[in-house]
This record gives sequence, C-alpha cells and structure tokens, in this order.
Amino acid sequence: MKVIVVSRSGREIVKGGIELPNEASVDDLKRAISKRVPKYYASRQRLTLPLRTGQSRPTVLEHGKSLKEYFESSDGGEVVFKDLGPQVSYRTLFFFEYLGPLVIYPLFYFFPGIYSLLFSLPARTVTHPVQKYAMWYWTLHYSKRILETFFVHRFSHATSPLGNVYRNCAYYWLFGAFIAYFVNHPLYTPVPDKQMYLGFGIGLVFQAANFVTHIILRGLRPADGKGGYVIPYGFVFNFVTCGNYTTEIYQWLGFNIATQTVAGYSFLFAATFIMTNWALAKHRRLKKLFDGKEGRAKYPRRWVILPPFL
Amino acid sequence: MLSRKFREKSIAIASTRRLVFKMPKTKGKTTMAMRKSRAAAKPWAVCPCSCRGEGEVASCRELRINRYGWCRVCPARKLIRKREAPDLGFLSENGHLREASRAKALAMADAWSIRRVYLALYNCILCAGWASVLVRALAALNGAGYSAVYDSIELPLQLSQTAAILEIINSLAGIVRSPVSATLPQISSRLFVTWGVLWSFPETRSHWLVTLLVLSWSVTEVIRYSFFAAKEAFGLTPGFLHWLRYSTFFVLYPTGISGEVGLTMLALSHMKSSKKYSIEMPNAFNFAFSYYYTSLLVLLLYVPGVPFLYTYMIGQRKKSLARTSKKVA
Repeated sequence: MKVIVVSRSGREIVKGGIELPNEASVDDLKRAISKRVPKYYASRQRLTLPLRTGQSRPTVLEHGKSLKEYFESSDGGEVVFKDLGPQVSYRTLFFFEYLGPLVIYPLFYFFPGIYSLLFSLPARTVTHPVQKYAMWYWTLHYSKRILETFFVHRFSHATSPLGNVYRNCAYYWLFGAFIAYFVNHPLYTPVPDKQMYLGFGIGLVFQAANFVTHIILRGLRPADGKGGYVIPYGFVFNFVTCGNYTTEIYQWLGFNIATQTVAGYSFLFAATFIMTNWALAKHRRLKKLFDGKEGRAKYPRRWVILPPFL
Repeated sequence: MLSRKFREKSIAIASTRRLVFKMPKTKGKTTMAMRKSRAAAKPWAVCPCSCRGEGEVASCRELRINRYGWCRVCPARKLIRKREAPDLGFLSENGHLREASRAKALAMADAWSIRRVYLALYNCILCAGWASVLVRALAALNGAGYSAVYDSIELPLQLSQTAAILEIINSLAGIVRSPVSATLPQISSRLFVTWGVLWSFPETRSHWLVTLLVLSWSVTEVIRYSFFAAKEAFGLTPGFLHWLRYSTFFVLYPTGISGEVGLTMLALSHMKSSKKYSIEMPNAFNFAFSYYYTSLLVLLLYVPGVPFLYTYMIGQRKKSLARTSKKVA
C-alpha cells in the first residue's frame, strides 16, 4: 500500500509517499518515515488520520496496531503528521527532576552558612531534632522515587517532550529549595514532639503504602509495553481509582504536620491540585472504556482520589 | 463539532469568496489581466477564507497554495481537493481543521450580542478614564510642573488600572481572543507599579519618571481602548487608529517600561528600610516574606518579559496590518 504523509498545513513531508506491504504496522510506517527524514525519529512522530466532518479530534495511529485497521482500502491512504519536538525518555526526565530536590535539600541542612552568606541572617545555633528527621525523611522519599523510576515503573509512553524537562525540573527544584530554606532556617520554630511523631508516622506509613501501589501498578501491564488499560484491583485500588496519588498526598501531609511550614503546605496544595486533575482524567477514561457493554467489564464504583471527598 | 447551522453559514460565507488556482509557469510578467483571464478559464476551487478582500484574484504564490490546495494564509485552512474542483467542493470531507471555530468567530463578530455590548461599553468607559488621566496630567505639567502630576491623576489612574483586571477575566473566559499569556504579565506589572510602588511609597511620587510613565500609559491606553471600542461597536476601525494602535508601541513600550523599572528601583531602598508588607521569622508557621527581594525578582522578570511582549506586539502588528480588509476578521 502507498501512504501519503502530509503535515497539518498540507505540505508533503515525504515526497511521493511511502510504499509499504499490506500487512505493515504503524511502527513500520514510522520507521520508514524516519528513514526518509532522519530528523523525525519514531517517538517524535504523531500520525493521525485526516479529520472527518463531525470529529473534534482526529484518530491517532496507535503503536502496535496494523495499518489495515485505519485505512478502508488496501491501496493505502493519507496520514497527517505532527512533529512532537525533541523527545526525552521518561526515565531521564524523572531522574533529573528528582535529583534536584535530593541534592538541594541536604545543602541547606549541612551548610547553614548559606543563610548568613546569602541572606545575612544570624548563624544557626541549635539544630532541632525535627530538622534532622525531616532531612532523612526527604532524602528517603526522593531516593525511593529515583529507585522506582529505574526498577519499578512501567511507562505507557516511552518519551516526553523536551520542554517538559525544563518545566518539571523547575517545579521540583524550586519547590525543593523553597521548602528546604524554611525548614532548615536558623529561626525555625519546631512543633511539639507529639505532633512531630504523629506527622512522621503518618508519612512513613503512607510512603510504604505508596510503594505497594506502585508494585501493583507495575503488575498491571506486561514488560513489553503492549498492554492496554486494565481495571486495577488489590490494596487501596479496591476502593480508590488512583490509590497511588492518594498515598502520595497523605504522605506529604504527614511531612507537613511534622514540619509545619507555609512552603511545605503550598507544595502539598500544588501537588494535590495537579494529581487530582490527572486522577479525574484517568477515572473518566477508565469509566468510559469499561462501560459494561459488549462483554467488557463494568468499572466498579470507586472514589477518584481522595476519600471521602472526591 | 460541525452543527448544521454553522455548515450552512460557512457555505454562505464561502460562496462569496473568489477563485484561487494554480498558475502554470510562464515567462515574463504576469499581469492582472492575464490572471483574470486564467481565473475565468480554469477555476479549480473556491477558497472559503476571507483573508483577502472580495473580488480580487490572487496568484498561488500570494496565497501560498500547494498542489493539495491548502490556503495557508487564512486560519480556516480549508483543504481543496484538486479532483473536486469542478464541483466547487470547498467543503470537502477531509481537512476541516478549524472550520467550526472560524465560522463561530465570524458569527460572533457579525451579530449583536451581550458580549459585544459589554465589550463596547467596557472599552468606552476605560477609554474615557485614561483620557481623563492624560488630560489632567498635561494640565498639571502645564501648571505646577512634573512633581504635581501624580496628585492630579491618582484616582482616575487607580480606577482605570484596577478595572483592567477585567481584561484578564475576559481573556480567561474566552470572551476576547487575546491569550492570557500576553495580558497577564502586562496587567500584573501595571498593577504592581500603580499600587505596590506609587501608592505604597509616596516618596517616589514627585519624580519626573512618574510623568514619563503616566504619559506613556495614558496615550497607549487611549489609543488601544478606542480601537477596541470602535471594533466592537461599529465592526470596523478607522485606518489611522488601526495604524496608531500597532505602531505607537515602538516608542511607548520602551518609555513606559523605563518608567516602571526606574520607579521600582527608586522605591527599593524605601522597601528595605521600612520593611513594608514583609513578614519575618520566627513565627509559628515558619514563613518569611520580603517585599524587597520580591521586587528584585519582579525586576529580574522584566529581562525575559520585555522582549517577549515586544516581539509579541511586532508579530501582532504584522498579522494585523497584513489584513487589508476593514472588517472584523
């Protein structure tokens, strides 16, 4: 079959089109395009069918499928190409965004000279136990995240646009510095001991729970990335769609109860807001996919992210 | 989603457009007469965009049409299939990328609606407010000199500038087409200077930079608001106003920004000594806020912000002056 590849403005990306066998898959097409135009490696290509009347979003050509499923005739057809820009693997993205806080926070703890040098504040005379525990807790959290990135997570998309590296790193690194500055401040006021133990206790429990949810999510998809969406079961997923986000939020809540800073709480709110948006989208997607018709399972009634609120 | 009403409206609009076609290469200059005769002889399809005035024949190079028939100038981006040309198949099945939103925008602009009345009123009132600032500032300059300018315009300036928050709301709500990324930095820097510098630190009010600032702002805003008021109320704007709106910024942006940055820098030492709006540690919630450092950060943000806004305006100017039509496009 012959496939014509055009950009969204109508310009032909590959002159004369591409000849492929009738049984070719979407990946074969992407490989052929990148052979003709080396700049556009496969993860950078987004191929869709031309928009039809009545459609608001075009049909995307998905990885792993055969081209026959998209074209009516075996003569081929036209695909619309979009360049997603330079791509970065998710592992790389996550590694750099978590590396920042892991490095920056201990700097404020171990080098209190920063405060007198940069901000002309009095030198730190006493280090409260809560500050030490907070540093250990923080280091544990981000080390766990980096380990999960390399050994636990299975990503549904292999890559992410390069721009996300700057955006995500800015978010994590700036918030990390913001929180680190205030918790390790020479004029920091600690909370009562009971509150500290309660906070760190909650945090550690939910960190462990969060790890368990990631293990469960890993088991949902096979290693080669060919799996589709599956209804998650087990542990918190039995009653919350995005139990992994839930445990993450409660874990940060624990940290904030123990350290009590405006900076920490604002980070909690920002993270909750972002994760809630993701959770709503995921919940909606799963409900739409598992509607109970045509032999598919019906998605059970569950909390979205934060029982008992949402 | 293409509803029937929009489809019919699009057909109605499209049927008034003129022909476009691909020109075979010829030696020598192609005159208008040649083009017209070719158009009459061999129409391919109708370009349903309104990016040029009606009744003109354009060459394919002008419209940057390729052999698949995309008109790349207009945002509607209709795909005109060569094969369907004899039927004038301008509403081909494929490629209606933005027809619905384009038709919607056109419909929105043509019809009288609450939106148009609201925008016309909003722009008129703000234009009057800024005109009052300008007049009073000039009168004060004429009379007592530059140090008296602030006192003469304090109230109308604060009212007009604060009312500009509605611009952000309009942008967010989708009532106007300007992106939030352009309006938000502009409005927030204005509000910062009006309230955070001039109102909070009276020591800065008698400086000549205030005059520079106020004159730049008021002239720009009078032009801008009257431009939009005319656009919403009458559906068209006089050519000179259009030109003014997109040309005076070349001078007024730098002068206005110098005023803003200069006054902020003047106020910095007062911020540091008075510790106004600042919170100090220790406190129960372990939070500190330094207005002085925040203002320094704001000044730093001008460094990327100014080129961004300036180039955005240059881009808008190119886009806008390229449209020869007086209609709301």
